[in-house]
Amino acid sequence: MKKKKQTGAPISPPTSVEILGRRELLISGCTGILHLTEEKIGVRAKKTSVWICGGGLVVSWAGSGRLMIRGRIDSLEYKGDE
Amino acid sequence: MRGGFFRPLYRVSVPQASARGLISAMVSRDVPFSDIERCGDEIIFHIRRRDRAAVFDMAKRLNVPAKCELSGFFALMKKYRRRAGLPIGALIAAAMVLISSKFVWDIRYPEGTPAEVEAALAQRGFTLGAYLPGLDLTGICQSVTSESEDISWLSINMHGTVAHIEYRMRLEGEREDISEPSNLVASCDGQIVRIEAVGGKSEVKIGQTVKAGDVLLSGVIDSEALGYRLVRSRGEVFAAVSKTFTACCPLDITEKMPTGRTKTVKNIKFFSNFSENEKNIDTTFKKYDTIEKTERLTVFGVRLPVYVRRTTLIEYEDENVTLSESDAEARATEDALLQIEKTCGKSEVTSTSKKVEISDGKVYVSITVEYVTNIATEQKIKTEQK
Repeated sequence: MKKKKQTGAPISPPTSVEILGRRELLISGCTGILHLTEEKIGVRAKKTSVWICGGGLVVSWAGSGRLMIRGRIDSLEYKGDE
Repeated sequence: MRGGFFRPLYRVSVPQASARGLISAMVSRDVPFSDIERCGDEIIFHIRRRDRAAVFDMAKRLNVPAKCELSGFFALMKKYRRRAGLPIGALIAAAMVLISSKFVWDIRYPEGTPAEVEAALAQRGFTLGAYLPGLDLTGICQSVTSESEDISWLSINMHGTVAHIEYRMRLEGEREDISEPSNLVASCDGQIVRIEAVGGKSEVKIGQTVKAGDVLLSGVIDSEALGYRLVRSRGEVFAAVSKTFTACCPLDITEKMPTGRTKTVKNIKFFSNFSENEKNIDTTFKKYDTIEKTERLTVFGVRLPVYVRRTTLIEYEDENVTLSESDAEARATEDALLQIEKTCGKSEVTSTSKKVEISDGKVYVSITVEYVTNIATEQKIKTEQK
């Protein structure tokens, strides 16, 4: 049987946030960026949005629905329903 | 996605004001990117080659003016593709690495390796800078072990271009020939303290006084069952010995006085150490002492086959000096003690006495030492050959 090639957007993983100290943060299940400055980054997830406040924030890399943010993390806030 | 110098990544720069929309679109379309950095009014990030079209499509739809260029190794290759010197240089470097890997760059011996091991290998062409394909390492090892009387086993282990030598020296006594009959005789006068006989028959007793030349252990054994037999006497006979060591020091002596003029000569040699006959130094100094120091060059802990020899010549003049009696005595005592150390070595010294005499402008120091030492020396028994 010929295997059908999957098309369209990949299935996004469930949202999860991993923080390593105050310098590194990994968000899984991202679907977009809401805000992008050195002081604040807003990330859109499936049913919620994650807001990171701090200083010198930068998106280090992204791929497979994951986003790595580096910089000084002061606060993390969820907005919207999960 | 992780960046790397050798990965064909594209560097995308977009104005900071419109960067969020494009990055958000990339996240939502799951287009990987990495190494985001702010550079003035622009945001720069890296994408894979295959995502370039998709990113440009997104940028066009969002009306974001994005600039894209190749980065890393491939960008450098593209930039310098017209410079022929670079690939030629790279080729020459690669060829040199290839050629140099065919030579011995370093030979490492275990600590305390005698010079004869190095000499035996050098004699068979295994030296620094030797051409490896032209050497039969197994043959060299076999040749060394079969021809050398002192080396019983040798192995050359090549780790890249560095040779690690392992060897075993033949143990003393391994080839002891006991076929030739002999006696052990006293080498000097003394009183027997201890007898450790391995072969032969003891002819002396503990406490007995012997003179130089007296037989201590006899190689002639008379037994009732077998008759006379000739054997090789082996063992040690310790005796209390008294010996006087005399040294003298004149009160008027000539001493070396440095003039303060020195000269340093540096020599560099590749692949082998300096030989003794390579010391042709041109100098105007009439009398001088030579201090020589040979070092091997190392770069980041890696020993190179390059030797640097620093030869320092220190000019001096002879000057007549008159010593005080105590200074002369101290010098003479030092000489006598050196003689004692050389003769007695590790022997057990039981007593010492010192005598000082001054005559004819010289100070004589005599030290009499009583010590226990092995006085046995071997004397072959001459037999008629059949």
